[in-house]
Amino acid sequence: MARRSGGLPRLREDLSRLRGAFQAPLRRFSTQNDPYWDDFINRPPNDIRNMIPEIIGKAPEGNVFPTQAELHSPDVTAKHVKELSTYLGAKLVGIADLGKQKAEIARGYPYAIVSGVRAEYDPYTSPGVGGQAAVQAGQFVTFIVASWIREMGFRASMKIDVPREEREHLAVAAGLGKLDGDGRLTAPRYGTKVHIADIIFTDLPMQADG
Amino acid sequence: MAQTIERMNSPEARKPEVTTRTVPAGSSAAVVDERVLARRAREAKKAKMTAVNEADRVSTDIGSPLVAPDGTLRMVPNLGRTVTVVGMVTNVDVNDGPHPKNIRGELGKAMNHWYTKTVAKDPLMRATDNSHAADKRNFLTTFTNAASKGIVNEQKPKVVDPAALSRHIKKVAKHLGADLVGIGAANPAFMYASGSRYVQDGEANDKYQSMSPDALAKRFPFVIQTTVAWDHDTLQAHRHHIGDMSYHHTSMKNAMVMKALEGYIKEMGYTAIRGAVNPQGAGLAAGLGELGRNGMMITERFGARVHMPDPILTDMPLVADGPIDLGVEDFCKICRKCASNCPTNSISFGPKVVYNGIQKYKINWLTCYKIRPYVADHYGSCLTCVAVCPFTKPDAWWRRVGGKLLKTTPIKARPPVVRALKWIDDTFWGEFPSRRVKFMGYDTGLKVGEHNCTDPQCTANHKEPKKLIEGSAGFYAPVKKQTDAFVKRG
Repeated sequence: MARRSGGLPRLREDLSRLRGAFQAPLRRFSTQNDPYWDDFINRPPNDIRNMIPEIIGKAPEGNVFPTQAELHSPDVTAKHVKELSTYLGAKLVGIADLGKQKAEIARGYPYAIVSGVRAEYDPYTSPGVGGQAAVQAGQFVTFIVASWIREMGFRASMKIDVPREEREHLAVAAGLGKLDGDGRLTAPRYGTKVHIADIIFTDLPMQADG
Repeated sequence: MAQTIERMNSPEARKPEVTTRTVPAGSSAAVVDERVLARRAREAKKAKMTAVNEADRVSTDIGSPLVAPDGTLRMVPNLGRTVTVVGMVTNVDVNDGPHPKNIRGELGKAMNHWYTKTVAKDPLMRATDNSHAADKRNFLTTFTNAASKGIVNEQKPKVVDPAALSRHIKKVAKHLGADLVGIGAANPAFMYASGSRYVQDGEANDKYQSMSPDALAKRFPFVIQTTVAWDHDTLQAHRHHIGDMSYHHTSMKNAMVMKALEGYIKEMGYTAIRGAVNPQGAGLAAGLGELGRNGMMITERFGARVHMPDPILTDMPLVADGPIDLGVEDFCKICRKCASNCPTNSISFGPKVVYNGIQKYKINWLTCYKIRPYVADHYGSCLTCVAVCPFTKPDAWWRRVGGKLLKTTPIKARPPVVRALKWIDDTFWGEFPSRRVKFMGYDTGLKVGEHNCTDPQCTANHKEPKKLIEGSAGFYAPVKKQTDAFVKRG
C-alpha cells in the first residue's frame, strides 16, 4: 500500500469519531433533528429502479479475459487483493479457504474473498435508500475486485446469492471476527456495525487466512 | 479548396475571435465596465447569496443584462472571482466535447483508433477504464449510467422546509459516499445547448429534453453537485497506471453516488434530471471550489484532486450556497507550477482570456488530449497538473493552516503570502515532483515497459530477472527535467 500521509489513518478515524462529542450540542445539525432522516433510512422505495443495489445486483457478469496475467506468489497475490479492497473502501478483508468447507458452500470454487464495510444501519432491517447505503458501498468494492480478477484471466463471481448466516460463517472462516450470542458477526474494531458484502468466489491462487 | 486554405492563413483569420454582444433595440446598457466586474467580485466574496435572492434581483442591478441568442434577457451568474461572465455566452452543445469529437473521427485516425478500438494491456485498467475495457460488463459505470430511470414518487414530504431539506440532502450525499456537496442556483449560462444531453451509455429520454436552457433553469432552479476526492498518495504517481487508478475509481464512485442521489430525490417526490448542466459551472455556483489555471476545480479540502461528475438539476425547494473565495485567483496569478510541469505545454503562462463571453484561464484541450495514444502503454490520464498543484495536498492540519491563512488575508495583501506558500511548496514537495509510489505490485521505480516484480516477498518465477532499484525518485514517462534523474540513476 502506498504510504499514508497526514498521520495514521486509523488513529485519525478514531479521533474524528471522538470529535463529535466535543462540538457544541446546540448548533450541531445531526440525524436526530433531521425530520427527513427516518424516511431516508427506513422507508421502502416506491420504485425499485431508484436503488443502486438493485441496479448493480441485476447487472450481468463480464467475460473472463482469455490470457492469464503473470501472477506473483500466492501470499503476495492475497496481499494485493486486500490492498485493492481496502483502497476501494472495505474496512475488513479476508480470504477463506473453501477446500475446508462443505461442497454446497464451496460451490466448486477454491477460495472466497470476504469483505466487510462499515454499516451504521443494518441493511437487513433498513430498506430505505440510506439503509441500503452499506450494500451499495460493499457492491462497489466487490464488483471492481471481481472484475479485476476476471480481467486477470481467472474466474470470479460476486453474483452468487449467499444467505446471511452463510456469509457470517465465511467471514469467521476468513478471520474477520467471531460470532456473538445471537449468531451475528462481531469484528474487533467495528463490533456488529459491519455489513458483509457479496462474497467473491474465485479460483485465483491465493493464501487463505485462518 | 485553395481559397479556403488561403483564407485560413490570412492575417484576419489568425486574429483571436472578439466576442460581440447583440443587444436588442431599446436596451440601455450595452457594455460591462470595470466597476461592474469589481462589484461582482465583491458579491462573490459575500458568498451568502441564495437562488431566491438572485431570482428576485432586477437584471440591471448587477450590470447590463446579458442577452440569450433568442433575444431574451438572462441573469448574470455569480461564479466567484476566478470565472466571470462578461459577454454573451453561447450554450455549448455537449456533442462538441473532446470525446464525442474523437468518437466521430474528427481528431484523426490515431486518436479514433486509440479511443474506440484499443484494449488496455493492464488488467486493472481494463476493469476501471471505460474506453479500453475488453468487456464493458466488467466496468461498473456501464450499469449505473445505462440503468433504466425510476419514476418520481407522487408522495412528497408533508413538511417542506428548504433550509432543513438542503441540510438533509447534503447529509444524504455524504452518507452515500460523497466527500463534498454543494447546492447552486441554476443558470442558463452554464447549461448545454437545448436538446443536447450528456449521457455516457444510456439515454436521457425524458420529457424535458427539448426544453431550452432558459426554460430549464426556470423550471429547475437548483443544481446539486457532489464529488469524491482522489486518493492523494496514489495520485503522486501521475503519468502512471497507479495515478490512473486514483482517478478512475473515484469517477466510478462519483457516477454511483450521483445515481443514488438522483434516485433518492425521485423517491422524495421531486424531479431530478442529469446531463443538462456543465459540471464545472455547477461546481463553481455551488461553492465547491474555484477554477484554477490548470482548468480544474480547486477545492478547499482536497485541492485539485476532485472530479466533477454530471450534476443533478432539480425542482426540490432548497437554499443555494454561493461561490467561495479560497484565494485561487491570487495564487494562480503567481504560481504557474502546473504550466511549467505540463508535458504538452497545454497550460497557459499568460493572463486570463475571454472565451465565449467568459473570462477565465483556458487550457489547450487539443494538445492535452492528443498525447494520449502515444503514451497509452504507460498511462491513460496524465494528471500532472493536478498532482503538482500546491493546493493538492493530504487533508492534514498543516494544509488547513496554509489554506486558512490565504483565505483570511485581505485580497491586496495576498501576493506576499502566496509567494511564501509557493516557496514552501517548492522546497518541501519539489518544483518538478516525482515520487516513487508502490501500489498492488505496480512500482513507479521501474522503467516504463519493464514488468519486473519488485516485491521482496514474492517467490514466483517471473519471466524476467528481478532488478530492484534503490532510491526514492519515480520513473515517469516521458518529459522535461524529470528525465535527468533517470539518466543519473542508470
